[in-house]
Amino acid sequence: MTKLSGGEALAKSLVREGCEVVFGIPGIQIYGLVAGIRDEPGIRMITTRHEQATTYMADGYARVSGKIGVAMVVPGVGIYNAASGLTTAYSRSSPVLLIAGQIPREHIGRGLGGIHEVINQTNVVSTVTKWQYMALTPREIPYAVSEAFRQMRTGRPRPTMIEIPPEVAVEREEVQLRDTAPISRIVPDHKQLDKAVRAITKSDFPLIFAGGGVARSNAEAALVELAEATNIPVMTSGGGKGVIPDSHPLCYGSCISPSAEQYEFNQLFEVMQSADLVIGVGSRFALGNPAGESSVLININIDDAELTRIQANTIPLHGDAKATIEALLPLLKEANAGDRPSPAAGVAAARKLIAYYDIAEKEPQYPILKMIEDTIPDEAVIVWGVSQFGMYARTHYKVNHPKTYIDSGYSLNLGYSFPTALGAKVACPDRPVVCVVGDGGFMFAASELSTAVKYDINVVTVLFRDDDYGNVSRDLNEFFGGTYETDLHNPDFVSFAESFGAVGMRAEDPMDLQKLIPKALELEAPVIIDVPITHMQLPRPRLIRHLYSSPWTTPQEGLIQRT
Amino acid sequence: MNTGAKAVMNTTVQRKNKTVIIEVEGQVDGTNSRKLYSTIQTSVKHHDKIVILDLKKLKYISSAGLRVILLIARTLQNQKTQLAACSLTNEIQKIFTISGFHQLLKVYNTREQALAALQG
Repeated sequence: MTKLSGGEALAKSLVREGCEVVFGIPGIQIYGLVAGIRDEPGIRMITTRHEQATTYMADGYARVSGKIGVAMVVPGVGIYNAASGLTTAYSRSSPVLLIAGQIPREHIGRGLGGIHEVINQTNVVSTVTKWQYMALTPREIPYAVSEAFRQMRTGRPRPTMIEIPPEVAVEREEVQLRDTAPISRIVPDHKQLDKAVRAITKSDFPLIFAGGGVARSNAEAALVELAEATNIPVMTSGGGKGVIPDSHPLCYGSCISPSAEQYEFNQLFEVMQSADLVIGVGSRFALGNPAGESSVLININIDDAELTRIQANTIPLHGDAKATIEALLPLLKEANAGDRPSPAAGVAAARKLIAYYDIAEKEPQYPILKMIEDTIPDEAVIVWGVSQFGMYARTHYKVNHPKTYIDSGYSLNLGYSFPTALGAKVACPDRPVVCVVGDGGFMFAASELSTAVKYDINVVTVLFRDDDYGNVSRDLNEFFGGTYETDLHNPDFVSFAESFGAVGMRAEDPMDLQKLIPKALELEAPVIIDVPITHMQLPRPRLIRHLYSSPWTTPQEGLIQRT
Repeated sequence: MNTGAKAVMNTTVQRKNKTVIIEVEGQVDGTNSRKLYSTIQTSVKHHDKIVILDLKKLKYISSAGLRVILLIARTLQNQKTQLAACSLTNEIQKIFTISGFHQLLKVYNTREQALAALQG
């Protein structure tokens, strides 16, 4: 036991959990916490310009490093601002800890109108966090931190929040610091494993569908071993991109979600539809299993709520992805489960058909995406904003290294990509990090250019500019009689970047990126590359085209029939 | 094109001695490729020497269908049965060429040519 302030206890507890950086904004109710971090070796704070960036950066940091990202904000409005980053992290099951201040203890819940007061502020983020705790004394802080980290390291990793009133941050008392909580990886019941092995050996058209849970479990190598040991090809969800190299001969590639593409010439959907056995690994199967009840679904998921939700014909395997695959492998080898023809030729044939059909569908985005793919180094981390190029990247950008593809999941929120890219770069300072974003999304968090320059966070940002919320404008034009207030008044992005001390470049044509991106990466500085695309007519993103058949996307004469 | 509805596929099987000719008509995609597989599986006996897929009336085949044909090809290869396709339409020829399938499977212009080549 040692006599510590709450701020000191927090800093020391975070360091014990392996935390090296906190993304935050200092403020009146968290002075004690800020001082604690300032004075503790081995941990530092990066101050952002808006609280939204604290959690976005923490998320980017977590996704690339495999560690837990930590953000810190003042109470009330600080939490509201930080909540947007938590929604993205929640949608991608990313472990982000939000440390939030509170109003003075005796005023909590009384509605006296204190600084930054929000009554029941936990409720602001309760739907996007898996665990919340308020520490009312310094001695509770080691427990709060240890438990928050344990929560994010076990089960489905999702954000958590700790609230600390200002008195707690500065009071001193005897505090018992804690060691990191031991983590046991869950392995499914042996009978279920045997059942799964029998099903796999009997199947003729098996398929592995890998989601983001593979990355969260650091199970990438195990997944590849599973595919190779069983000669079963792999398809990934958007969240699972990179868990197996796209160049691997057993990798079909990614689909945004299995059922979303059924209305197109989509080879991946049809391959999955024809499977007689689907091994889901760490995927929520957002819109179901195209193969349906005629296939056996072996569902490997750490979240027991997901196990039997998708279909009745399921062999649930409740467990950690890596531990479950490692438990299956010797059983599969013993059963000669790999004794089947290699599917590599079929995978190669499918990939060629995908490329053929999609070129016709995706002009003019496709050549630009392909050029970006050929230009950006293979090991680079790319954070894809919510834009046309971001949507196409979900299925068609080739990713060959784990934890190098980042998107916003079903959150699909504008504004996430630039600060998330900054957080990713903090996690991997020696690796190129590129943010691909539209002008609409970039301006949500453009002030973080200041953060990038201050802390030498050298992200290259490819900023596609059409001076419009282009997708919205097109849809309003097509279906609602005309666009309305979607045009954007933008700064000169080159001058804008330079005004912060960053580097600004401008492409005359998108294909100029072929020369500009390598030049930008060499500079080792924050760079904005302004890419005007006002002349391009961009069709509706085909990958969410099915959403446009929803009646609520067009004007109606009466009420919409409920189904 | 996969609209979610089940694609229509019909097969006709003819057998003469140890040669099996399977005519595939319609479309083969994710909704019915396993049906094609089980048809071929049940139609071909272990002692058959030649299997010809006559694709004259096939309008479309997706990766799911190609996957089936590949698996059949490997299975037949193990039992030393020859497999070939014939009478491809322009559309199917394009799919075979784009996918590289024309290098994985023997393809002939007509049924007669296929028979002559494999029986000879």
